[in-house]
Amino acid sequence: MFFKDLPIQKKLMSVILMTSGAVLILTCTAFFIYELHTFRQSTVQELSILGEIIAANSTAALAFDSPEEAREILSALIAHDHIVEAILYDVGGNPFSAYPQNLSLESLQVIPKSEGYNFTDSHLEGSQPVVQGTRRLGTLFLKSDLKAMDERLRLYGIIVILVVSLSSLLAYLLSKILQKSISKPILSLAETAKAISDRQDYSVRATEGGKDEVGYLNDAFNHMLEQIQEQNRALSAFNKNLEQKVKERTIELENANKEQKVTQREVYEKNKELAQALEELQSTEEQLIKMNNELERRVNERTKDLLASEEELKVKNTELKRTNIDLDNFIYTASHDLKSPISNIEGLTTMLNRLLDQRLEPNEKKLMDMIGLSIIKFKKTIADLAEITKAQKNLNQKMDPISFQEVIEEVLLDLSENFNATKPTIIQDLQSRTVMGSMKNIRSIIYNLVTNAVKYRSPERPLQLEIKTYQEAEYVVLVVKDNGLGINKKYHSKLFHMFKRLHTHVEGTGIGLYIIKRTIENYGGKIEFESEENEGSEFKVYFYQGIA
Amino acid sequence: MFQILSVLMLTCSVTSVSAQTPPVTETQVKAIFLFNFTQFVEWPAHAFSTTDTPFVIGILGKNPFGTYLDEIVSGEKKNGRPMVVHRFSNAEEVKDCHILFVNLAKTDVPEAILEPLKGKSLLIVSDSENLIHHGGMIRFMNVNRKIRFQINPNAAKAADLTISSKLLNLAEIVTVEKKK
Repeated sequence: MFFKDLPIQKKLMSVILMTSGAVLILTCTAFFIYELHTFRQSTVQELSILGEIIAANSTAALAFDSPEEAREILSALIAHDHIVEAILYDVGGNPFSAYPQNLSLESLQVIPKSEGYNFTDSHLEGSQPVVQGTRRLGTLFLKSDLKAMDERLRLYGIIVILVVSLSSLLAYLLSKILQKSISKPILSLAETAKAISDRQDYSVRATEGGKDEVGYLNDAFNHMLEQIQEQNRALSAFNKNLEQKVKERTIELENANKEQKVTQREVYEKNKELAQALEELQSTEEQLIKMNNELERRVNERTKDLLASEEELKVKNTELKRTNIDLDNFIYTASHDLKSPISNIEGLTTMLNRLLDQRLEPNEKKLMDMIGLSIIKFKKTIADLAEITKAQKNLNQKMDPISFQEVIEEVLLDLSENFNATKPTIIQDLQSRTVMGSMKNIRSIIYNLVTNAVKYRSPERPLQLEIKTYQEAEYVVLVVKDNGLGINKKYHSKLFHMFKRLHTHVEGTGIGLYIIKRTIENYGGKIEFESEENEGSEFKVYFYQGIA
Repeated sequence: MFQILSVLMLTCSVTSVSAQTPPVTETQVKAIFLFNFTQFVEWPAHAFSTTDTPFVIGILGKNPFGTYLDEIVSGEKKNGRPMVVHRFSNAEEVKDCHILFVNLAKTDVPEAILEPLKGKSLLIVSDSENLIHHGGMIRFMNVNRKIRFQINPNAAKAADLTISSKLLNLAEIVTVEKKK
């Protein structure tokens, strides 16, 4: 467990050191044992050869009974300082001569029984026959100490310790250097990973590492980081986009509110003026004062209601910043709840207008008319808002095969009075004759597109309208192309936004394209367009037809 | 080195020999030495007429050993040849002999005795100082009541005999001016 928790550098070094240490110790031990064994063997052999030489040289001395000669021969052993004792026995087993010379022959009555050399505790000793030709002349006994062997073994011990310690030191130094080639990239990778998890900075990259597994790991790690970064980017882009959308929606709603406020203020001011006018007329029209008061009270009430609605709208706006679904709810609520008050205002104003009809000054009458127009505008806006909610709710409508030809003709007929004096050139190329959908939606889409083409035609050239249909993959595509005013590039991204109006010289609410987009997307389709300012626009509507 | 090796090889074929009773008298020591000389001297092949010719130790003159020499030699072999003891009464009789102990009587003339032995590969041993100066190879001496010997290596070389250096080490070397 302890080893497991060690840092990888130490782990590598421990592995190398333990392995090399074990190998070294085993090798040295094996050599030591081998040396011990061979040295013992060679010691025995050396002593045996020495014995042979001494024995061979001693034959004549024994044969001709010359202890002096034997002593001389044995004294040559002084050159072999490991020989501590040498005794020459005659053939009868009696001591004949001995080395060193101070050894008394009388004390050496026992002739060794066995021949050959053996190790005792502290010595190597043994005897061998002295033979001339085939004739045995005596026995030679030799005794050698083991100092040489002890010294040799001590030397070997020292060498082994030196080799092991030096090799371990070398192994330590080498492993310290060499382990880096493995540990460094891993450590670097770990550092990188730590840096990333500490700082959440995914732009950091692992750089160390060759083409080995660590390098592969680095690559995989970097690849992963790239993916994370990519996803982060996409997320933040998505978030920004979302924020942007919410902002835009908010601005749009605020604009709508402003418009409403302006309208209301106008109404309020007109009412005030009226009240003043009424006051002026009070003396002659007692009843009118009453009605006027009544009207004033009602208008105030409605204004309050509207202000309340406004408050509600503001609350809803903040909610809308979080979700688009609330927008639909709001639209629905707004369109539904505003319908009856505005109808009331309209009715009351009409009534008031009728009552005051003959008595109004021309400028007062103009003001009255302006009130009426404002109300009509207001109603149209509410109706459009209702359209949006309808577009939302039309999802479950029955799908029928709808003939393009019929719808186009119907729309053109409807719009014929808008064409004015100059009739547009209309080119039709209907490769797909029918499309699956609801009559209402298809009509609405074509109506809107054609209306737009008519509304935003160029004053400099007669309108040319191209209507095409064809099949493309799982879509039936409707193309409506005109040579009108076109759309400035900078507005392209906002084209399908609600209440977005790019041309203000023509009346409109800026909701048509928004509804088309909502409708077509609800059915799994899409809408695309291309446009050049002052050249014209081309809208492509993709009706999703399911998998053909 | 070669010597060591040959010694080593010899030791390999050694069979143990029973201990003999230690010599008592001077003559017995000489008899043992006579036998022991066979171990340290090599004879040329032409000294033997056939491959199974025995190795002969001869005694010329009065036999001082009685049967002691026969006892020593009995059963022994030299290079596979059985050893025998022959007694010769005069030099002319000596043939097929390899060691000859010459017991010189005071009346004997060394040159006369050695003359018929010339040209033979024969190791001539005696107690006489005269003989070694006239072609004898080994002479026994009594030094401090111990039997020692002189060797004339030139005479041995002339007789085509090879004497081991070990034997020469023990001996007193005698060199004789050659008479022309």
